[in-house]
Amino acid sequence: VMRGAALALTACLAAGVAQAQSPETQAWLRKMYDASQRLSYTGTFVYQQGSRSETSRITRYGAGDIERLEVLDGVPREIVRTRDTLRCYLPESKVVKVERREADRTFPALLPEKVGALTKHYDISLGESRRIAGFDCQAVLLTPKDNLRYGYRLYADSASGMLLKAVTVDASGETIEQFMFTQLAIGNVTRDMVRTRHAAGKWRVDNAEASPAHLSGWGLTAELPGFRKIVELKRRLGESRPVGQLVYSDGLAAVSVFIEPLDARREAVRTGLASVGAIHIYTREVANHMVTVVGEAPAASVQRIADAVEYRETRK
Amino acid sequence: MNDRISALMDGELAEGEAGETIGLLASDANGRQAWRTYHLIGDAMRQGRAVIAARPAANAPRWRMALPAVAIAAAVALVSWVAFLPVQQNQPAPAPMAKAEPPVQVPLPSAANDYLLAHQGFSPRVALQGMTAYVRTVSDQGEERRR
Repeated sequence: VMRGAALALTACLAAGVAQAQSPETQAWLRKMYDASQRLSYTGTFVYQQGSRSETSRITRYGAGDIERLEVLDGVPREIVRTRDTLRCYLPESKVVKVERREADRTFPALLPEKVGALTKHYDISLGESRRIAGFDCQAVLLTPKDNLRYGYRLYADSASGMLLKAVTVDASGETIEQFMFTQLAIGNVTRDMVRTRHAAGKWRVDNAEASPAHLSGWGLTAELPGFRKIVELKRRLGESRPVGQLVYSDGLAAVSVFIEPLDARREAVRTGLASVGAIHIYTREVANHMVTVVGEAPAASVQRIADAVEYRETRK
Repeated sequence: MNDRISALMDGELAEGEAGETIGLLASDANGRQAWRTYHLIGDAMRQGRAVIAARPAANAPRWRMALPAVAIAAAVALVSWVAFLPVQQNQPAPAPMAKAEPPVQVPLPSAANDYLLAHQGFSPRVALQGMTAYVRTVSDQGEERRR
């Protein structure tokens, strides 16, 4: 009888532990990913960060994989994303910023074969059910195993998998920022609903002209645990500044390292940290270049990557 | 279900059956409620109080004075399991790492939006969250600083 009791006890405790990375939680991540790739919808959502909040309208045309985002508060801004291009319309300054997208920039970390890698750095578990904007949602919790990354609480519609709310939390469980739909209608989206509202024919066009490149001599003295280099390219920033960009990611969070020659700039480099919600920006000077590190990771992580940036002269 | 809970408490289930019932209890709120109710009734009876009236229906369990070991173990396991869940969800974060010195705070770079726009496209979260993640890129804050 005692042996049976011990077995029962072990089985129950094991069930609790195994729940963290069960097939069910993985299936939820997959469902959310599929919904983000497949659904047509239009809705209003609020982005909240500290005491600030901002309302936007978003529409996705599933058949053509086109999305349009329009910020409704403050300075008017609009972004239209097609499969290969992202256009950001700034009507007040009459500027269109154009970014080419590579076809394969989706979220591979959520595919079942990649979730294993994600679980190295996050505990993934199911949370409570909650009603959001009229949808019954299931929470999926991504809890970091160290303090190099943020945690996430994702709430997805139980029926469709559509993400209704995403909360970023820091190590003490405090909310850093959140996105939440206040109204959402799934389906019934036409191509016209995702066209830009602006006749931007005569606006200035800032084209990033990003292309893969090897940034000779640049790298990190030490990578941050779990963050691997996923992209290395040359591009333009703003009107014309040529910049190198290295991107590191742990599968969920990403940190970009921008490298630009100092002589192309008029302002002095101000070493230090700035923040926008969950995004931190750390700037410093390395080998007569301005290095700007931008990432949705805790300030200490962004600074660690910035401090590790080095230039090694390549000898011929 | 209630019959099985009752049998479990009386130690009348085989090991396999007991494990299965415990599994059901773990996933069934009503079952757990019944389990607690039966225990309260059992406790009261052992204390010699008259609780006949409180018995739930005709198939109420037949109580014994001592709970068999398996039922006690099951109770412990169930409590651990139930107690374990919320702890796991609100797991306290690891202690902050030792930092040399806090970084100097500077205002957002004048080109903050350009950096954000350039960075955002590579963030894996964008694929999950779609364009909503981009709202940070064009956030009012950056635009205001720019002017």
